[in-house]
Amino acid sequence: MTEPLETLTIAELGDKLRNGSLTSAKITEHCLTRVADLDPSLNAFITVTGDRALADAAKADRELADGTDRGPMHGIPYGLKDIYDTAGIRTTCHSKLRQDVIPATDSICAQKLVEAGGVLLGKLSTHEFAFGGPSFDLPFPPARNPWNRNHGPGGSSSGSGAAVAMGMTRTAMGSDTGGSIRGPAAYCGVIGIKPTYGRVSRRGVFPLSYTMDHCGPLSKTVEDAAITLQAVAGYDPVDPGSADAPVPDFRATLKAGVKGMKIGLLRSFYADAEGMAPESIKAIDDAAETLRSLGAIVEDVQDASPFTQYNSCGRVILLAEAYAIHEADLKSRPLDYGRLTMERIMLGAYISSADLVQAQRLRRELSLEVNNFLLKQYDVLLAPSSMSPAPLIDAPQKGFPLAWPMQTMPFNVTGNPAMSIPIGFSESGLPLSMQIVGGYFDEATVFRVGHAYEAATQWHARWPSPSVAEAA
Amino acid sequence: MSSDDRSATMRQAFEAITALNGLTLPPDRVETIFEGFVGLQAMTADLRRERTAESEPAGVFVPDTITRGAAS
Repeated sequence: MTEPLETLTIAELGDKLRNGSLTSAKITEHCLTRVADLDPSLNAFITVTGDRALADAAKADRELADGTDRGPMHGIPYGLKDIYDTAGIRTTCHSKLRQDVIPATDSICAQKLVEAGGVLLGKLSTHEFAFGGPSFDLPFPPARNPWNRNHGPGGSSSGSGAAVAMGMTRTAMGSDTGGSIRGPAAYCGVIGIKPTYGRVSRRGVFPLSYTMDHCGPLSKTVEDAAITLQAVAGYDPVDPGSADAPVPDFRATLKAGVKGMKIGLLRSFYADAEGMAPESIKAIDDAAETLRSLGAIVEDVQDASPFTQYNSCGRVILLAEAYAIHEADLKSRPLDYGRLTMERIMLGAYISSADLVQAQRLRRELSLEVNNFLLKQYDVLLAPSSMSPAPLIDAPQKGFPLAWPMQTMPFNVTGNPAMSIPIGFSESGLPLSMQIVGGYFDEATVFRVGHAYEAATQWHARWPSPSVAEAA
Repeated sequence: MSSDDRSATMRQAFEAITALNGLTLPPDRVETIFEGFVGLQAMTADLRRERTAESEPAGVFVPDTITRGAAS
């Protein structure tokens, strides 16, 4: 019987690599076998870079044998959402418009993961241009949810969520403009962290919205996410949004616990929201109780602005910026976009200059509210990652989609680090989740709270059955 | 303004902006995009409140990020 290597954390794999009981080549072959066996029914990968992965792994093994250790990601396989440029490997954005694009250079994240000794398994499915989906009118099929393939994995980092949840890789990079890391992490039952705006370079990542885009990992555990973020974080003077802020050791306080911490629950954002599932509310209440049992003080937040303000602000900025990026193609070849992408981004054409500036002014006010008011009272905030468990992948989309109360959007508006973490399962067997939100550049505290909760609950120890994928 | 008048005005505004932007909307998608346009109007109204100079948006023009090191 093959050793279930997918159940080992990045740190555990690293220990075995360094004591000689395992090789990167063996880990990589295991991942590639799982991709070959399980991905045909999940569509998490657009491009599998098998030869590259085996070459990366061989190099990692040689270096370790020669005494060169590049750190915790050395010899560890990972995937990249297919909007991250990779030199010599096509980067499609899951779109007909870019299905043959082969970049000449790596994105900064891809470059940093190479420097960290990582092993690139391949490029992962996304909603088209990180926005429209799930769609069936694109050159590649949409990724599906490993817990039930009739359901969506969330988006837009859909392949990243599905691949990590099914153990095809422990970690993968996604991007998040309104919730595209945290949404798939929530629906797939894995960790997804949107770091502080500016923490990770966006250079070489196809933009959706310049001031709302964030790069970050989806990983199986909090520690895996901390290790991956450590590898890609840091200042890039060529990315105009990049922050020249020191990068701490994200694992230094991982096990410090939550005793005495003050945690605010943003109940007013979701308790009465249309479409909020009662079992999601109950799961968050239970998670708050778990944190109390660990010694934290958890209170309902009072006096936050209405959620709709955050949502309207984020949607308007996102649409205006996305339209500006896609304007030429939307005018000249609109039918080359998938229908959902085209219909959504096109709305940016109807936003006035005054609308955009008012949204930017509101953004400052809301950012001050979160950072100078709410996070002065609390160490972290809690909110849902999604309104419900993952919907059916082909569920009809009702009403005006931009009004959907995406609980992740507020922290794209404010730029605060926010992490989705599994907090249970629905009656139908689908993951439930919440967000932990921290102060600017304080991802370490977000990881600390998440790790304490994860260790106390062990939701991460559950895996979807491979038979769900194989039977499809 | 009656709701019929308002609806007609919204339709005229939508068609005018579409034309001014040089957009050609596929006929089978016009209604979906129009519904989005109507929803956006409600959303953009939500952005407005009384403000002072304190609410100048951040980072609109910052020399360091505009030049990205090229001028130093």
